[in-house]
Amino acid sequence: MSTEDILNEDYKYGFYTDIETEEFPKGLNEDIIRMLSAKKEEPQWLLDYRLKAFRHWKTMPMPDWAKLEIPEIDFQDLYYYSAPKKKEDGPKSLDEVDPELLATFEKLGIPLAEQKRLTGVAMDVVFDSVSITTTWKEDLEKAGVIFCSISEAVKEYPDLVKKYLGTVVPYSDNFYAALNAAVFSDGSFAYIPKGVTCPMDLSTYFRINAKETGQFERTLIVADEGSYVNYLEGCTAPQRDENQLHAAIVEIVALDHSEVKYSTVQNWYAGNKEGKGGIYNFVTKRGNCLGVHSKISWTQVEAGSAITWKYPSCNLIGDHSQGAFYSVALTNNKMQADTGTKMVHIGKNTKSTIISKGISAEYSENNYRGLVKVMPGAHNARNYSQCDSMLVGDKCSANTFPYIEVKNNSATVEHEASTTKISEDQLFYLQSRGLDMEKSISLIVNGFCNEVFKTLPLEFSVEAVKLLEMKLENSVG
Amino acid sequence: MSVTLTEKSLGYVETASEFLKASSLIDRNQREKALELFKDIGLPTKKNENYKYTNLNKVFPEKLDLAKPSQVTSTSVLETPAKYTLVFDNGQWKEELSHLPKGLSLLPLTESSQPNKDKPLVSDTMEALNSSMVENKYLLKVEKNSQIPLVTLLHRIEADQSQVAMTSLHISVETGAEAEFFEVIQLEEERENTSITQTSFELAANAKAKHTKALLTKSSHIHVGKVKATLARDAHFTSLTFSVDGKMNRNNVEVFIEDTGAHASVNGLYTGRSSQHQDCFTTIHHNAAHTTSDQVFKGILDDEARGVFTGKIVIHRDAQQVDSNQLNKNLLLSKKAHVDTRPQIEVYADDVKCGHGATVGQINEEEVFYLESRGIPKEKAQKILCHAFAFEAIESCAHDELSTWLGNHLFELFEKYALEHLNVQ
Repeated sequence: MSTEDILNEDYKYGFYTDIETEEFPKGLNEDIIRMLSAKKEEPQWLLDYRLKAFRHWKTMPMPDWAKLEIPEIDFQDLYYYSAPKKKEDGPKSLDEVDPELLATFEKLGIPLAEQKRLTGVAMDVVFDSVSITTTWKEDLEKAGVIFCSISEAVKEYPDLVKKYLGTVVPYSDNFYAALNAAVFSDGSFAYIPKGVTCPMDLSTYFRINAKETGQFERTLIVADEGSYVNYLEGCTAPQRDENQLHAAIVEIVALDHSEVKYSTVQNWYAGNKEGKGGIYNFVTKRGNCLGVHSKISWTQVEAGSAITWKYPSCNLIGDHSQGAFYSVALTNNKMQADTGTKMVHIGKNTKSTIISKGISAEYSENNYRGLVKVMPGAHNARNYSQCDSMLVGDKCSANTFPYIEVKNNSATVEHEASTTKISEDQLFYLQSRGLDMEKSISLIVNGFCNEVFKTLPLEFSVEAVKLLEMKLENSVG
Repeated sequence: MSVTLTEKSLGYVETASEFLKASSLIDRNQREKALELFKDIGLPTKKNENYKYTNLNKVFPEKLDLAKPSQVTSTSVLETPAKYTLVFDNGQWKEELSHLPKGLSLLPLTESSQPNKDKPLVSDTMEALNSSMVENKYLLKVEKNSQIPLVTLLHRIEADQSQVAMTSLHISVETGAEAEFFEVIQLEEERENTSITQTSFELAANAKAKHTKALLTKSSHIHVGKVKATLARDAHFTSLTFSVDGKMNRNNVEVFIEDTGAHASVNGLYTGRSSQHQDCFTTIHHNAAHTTSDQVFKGILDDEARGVFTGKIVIHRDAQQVDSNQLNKNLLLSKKAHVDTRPQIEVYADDVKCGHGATVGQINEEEVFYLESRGIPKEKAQKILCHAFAFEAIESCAHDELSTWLGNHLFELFEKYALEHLNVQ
């Protein structure tokens, strides 16, 4: 493959699937929300919740505190609902799913067809505004695990959804959370019952396909006492010249002695070399460690999106609960990322770990913004944070904005950060051993991120390494 | 960034405009420009990111009422390790009490003598207020290639309840000169009043300056101060902020490293008791390649005191081969003490080394145990460890006698406080 080919090929998920879709008119108002709610046959309480969120959203200004240059977004110029047209009562099995759709996911390398048993991952696939299918349902049902789209969950398990929806991220939390609460169209719901270790990894795959749509999905994961689940999330979008909006919410509730691991490989379309097009990724992710000894860990590999505004957080409420955040954020071309985490220590003997690795290349801007807060009652809270940045090229920037607020004297909080470039010595060493420049750099970068990759599930970790290699190609003189 | 001003701020703006209209000060033009800047933000509230933890709008007096130099009645001059002392009463130079060493001269600062005319005047709203309203601005000149021993710059502040005292000093250290300054903000009487100070350094090529700023204020005083330095080629600047008393202190330190080979060392110690509030805010701009900086800030917070540290390192584009380090350590001695720290790095160049570290913790139990096992009672052991912790910052003023003097002052303060504490109980 010549250099030119690589250049042209750099976003291989950039295709668009021409599929018949059903869309609501453009714009956002109470009628659209009512239509959306009616379409999904939602109960009254959910419609009320949406309307409340919408009314609150109208009073909020767009946040401008992040170090990002966000062009004005016209929220009235977006479609808030777009779904592939389907038969009246929806697909019962994969055979009924539009073959065009299946081919799309085939192209993306998503094993929708269940014959690929080997992968052993249960997956909920979200295409624009709706969940297309959820695989492996029967096997999960045997274990008692509920895993379905959130619209289904609203119908089938209204009590569970009503009990937990919006408890972690209230609609009034922030601008994009309010917007999402008003118009969220679909997403995944997972409930792991008491004492169950989920027999396979759960996974959501998001795909934005339609033009000028915003994707607003909502994920809710509830881990009951003593349960364990490994959750994966992946995303792609077609290559377009306009920017598209993605404002999602992920809520996790972990009860006593439960553990949730949430891993994301985010590879939305990032725009072209001149920074044209790409996804605006404004996501609110938060977990509540409600129970004692509960654990939530976020692992993210952020390699896409024109603008990323994302802070997966943990509220450590239960005593002895633990939160962790492992992140690799890679920006190139003209991407902007403002990402990090919030760890709020509320219960006694709570622990949190933050490992963040930022790599910025070309003209991009990569910011780490994090908060560690120790409340007065959080005796013996412990936090360790490490934020390292690597700069590739002299036109990019890497910034670190940690906030540490400690209100309890028995807490121990440590924060370390460093900014460096790839050392000439290391490069020279590898090259003298016969590796070419690009391979050497990729090896060093992978070594730099190793701590985070280690925490990813195997298939993701392979994907992440590849993704970084691909993104760094040609970005190094 | 323009925000809606609070009612208090509007009042301040009005007072300042009237003051400027009535005055015939020669640098009126500049003062008006400064006032324009103050109008943008006014007295900062919690909504201002730079003052997120220190709401000055809330604590500042209702009306802006400036203290007059004649209000200072004291005749005694503080004893310091320095041989030469310059006394300023509420910002006005007191010639009869001052001794200047050879090579150092003092002039009123005028528009034409203002160093660095093309630089933006001020970067902070409180500094802007000071620049527009302060009555006396002085220029201290350190002659080319001269070496000045330690000089004390003693600011005696005496103001009525709710009055504001302002001081402004500009120090120009010429090529190859070396100077050491010990700046003291001394409060004459315990009253609820406020001081806003500004000290700016201009270091020419090869110049060296050491600056120690000590706040010897009282427990109901509010202080907002700015220390600013601009460094030319191969210049060295060392700064220590010693902020151990007062109701609320906000110390801003801003350094512009403008040419290669220059080095800045910015350090500080803040301690707080009862409900004191200490806020240190540093910004180091690396505008040139091959420059270095380091920072050490230590905080000791007891009772319900609150400590805030924000340290910004900005490495601008093309400032390659910069080496910059920052360390902030905090000791929390009581359950209700509270610390907020924000070590921030902004890097726009790729070939740099830049690191920061921040810790919040308590006195190490093992260290206490070690001292106890050597026969030292627990309380004494804790005191020794606190002192050792503080001393790492104090030492950075790089003047033996001065660091001993500061250490002693801190020790007396701790003792006095411990006694008060006993009496209360």
